[in-house]
Amino acid sequence: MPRACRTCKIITNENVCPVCKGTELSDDFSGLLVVLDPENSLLAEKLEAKEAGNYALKIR
Amino acid sequence: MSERTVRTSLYAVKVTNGQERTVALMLSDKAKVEELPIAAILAPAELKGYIIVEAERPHIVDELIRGMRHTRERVQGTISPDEVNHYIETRPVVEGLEEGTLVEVIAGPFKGMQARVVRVDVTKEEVTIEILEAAFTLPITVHADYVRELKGVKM
Ligand SMILES: [Zn+2]
Repeated sequence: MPRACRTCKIITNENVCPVCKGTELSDDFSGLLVVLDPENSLLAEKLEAKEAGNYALKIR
Repeated sequence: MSERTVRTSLYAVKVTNGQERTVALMLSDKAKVEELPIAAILAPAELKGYIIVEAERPHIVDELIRGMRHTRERVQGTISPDEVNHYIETRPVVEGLEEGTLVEVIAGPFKGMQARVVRVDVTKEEVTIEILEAAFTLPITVHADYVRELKGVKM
């Protein structure tokens, strides 16, 4: 079951966030930003997403 | 501030209602497989019937959506980056809330009531509040989204 990291918002199936190694993950999230090219994406910049991946927009 | 070298724009694509998330994932798979220069794809829960694709040129978006299920067409023109800010909320939801802050409850069973914050949990984005209008003060813990600061009032 996918969960979103409360710190960097990336969606993961792991128990530890692959980006920040945090363990504060939530299964209650909504919205999606797929970041394909983090260096050139203004949307990634807005979300402060530095790596490619699927991100949640809102996390409860 | 930005170090981006490529100048991208935001394009809206009309999609089947309820399929926004699925389409965003399908399109991202296609972009990866066909190595299309798509920067990002946005599917906010509040935006019904559209997704937003970030790319350098509109024809790249047209190529991305061509022949894909649940996608209709690209909307003419571009979307201003400022228009999507409210979908991408990086502001912590507990910002401005601290012990003593007066708030209005905006969701849940206590909606419309005024309360005082007695504790803030930044990590969980939760606040513990006491409802002011209640006969006795029973602290309750709610998500910070459930309250709104009453500006300029402190107790
Ligand atoms: Zn993380």
